[in-house]
Amino acid sequence: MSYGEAAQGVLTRVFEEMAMLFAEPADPAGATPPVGEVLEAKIRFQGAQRGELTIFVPTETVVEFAANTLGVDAGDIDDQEAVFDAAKELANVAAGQLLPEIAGVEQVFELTPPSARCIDAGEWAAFAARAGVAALLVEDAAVLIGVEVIA
Amino acid sequence: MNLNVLIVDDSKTVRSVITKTLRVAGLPIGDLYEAEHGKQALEVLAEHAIDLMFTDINMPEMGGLELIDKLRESGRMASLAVVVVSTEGSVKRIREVMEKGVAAYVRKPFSPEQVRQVVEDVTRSVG
Repeated sequence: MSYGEAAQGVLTRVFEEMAMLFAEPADPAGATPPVGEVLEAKIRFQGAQRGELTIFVPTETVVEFAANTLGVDAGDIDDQEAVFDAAKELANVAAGQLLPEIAGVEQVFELTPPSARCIDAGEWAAFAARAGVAALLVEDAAVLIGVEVIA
Repeated sequence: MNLNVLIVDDSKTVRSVITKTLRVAGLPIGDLYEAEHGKQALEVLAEHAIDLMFTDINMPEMGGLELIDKLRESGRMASLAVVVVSTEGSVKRIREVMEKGVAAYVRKPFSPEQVRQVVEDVTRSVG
């Protein structure tokens, strides 16, 4: 199983278990780019292997994720800090689930605090075309996932 | 006996989920405090009588393991039940955490039921 496929499976579980959002695998090149704002959530890891997990996810999906996780209306997630916080936690949980799958449960990794920022359409297109990047449709919204392992 | 609880996590989302779980679960919870990292947690612990602390591991400024080590050094762990809530999936790391004398380890993503069960177990053990 490739890192991308492993990340696809992990993100599918995280969206479903934390927020009851249902996801299915998609083709990154064929997935329709989101119309609205998109966030990049990124977390780096270091241990037996070193690398980073990057998730490109529509803000609308992050809002839904945060609202369902907290059990509130999407309208209550109304400030950027809360949206960024939820995107970072998504990356954090996904990395914690992914690393034992790709390196084994005996390996210990140090994670950096995750980061989040807005990206533009050009960055989405470039990331979608990158080798090894996987995609999901989360309630019909495209999400891109990349796992880069350096050593 | 109502437990005063401190929740230490750099994610406001996680702090809110744990807070909400504790409030709706009908548990004997007294005052609830929050901190974004270990250093803030030490400040809260210095000022308030906390019975139960939930803490993440991976946080800026001071992580959960360093926080627990400082509490062990100061002898504060004797009167404080610590529950680690983390994404950490390494069994080696989880073993290391448990050997530090924490009451429980809850892996993210967690269900409200897991948190409720942990608090019930801690409540039984302290009182």
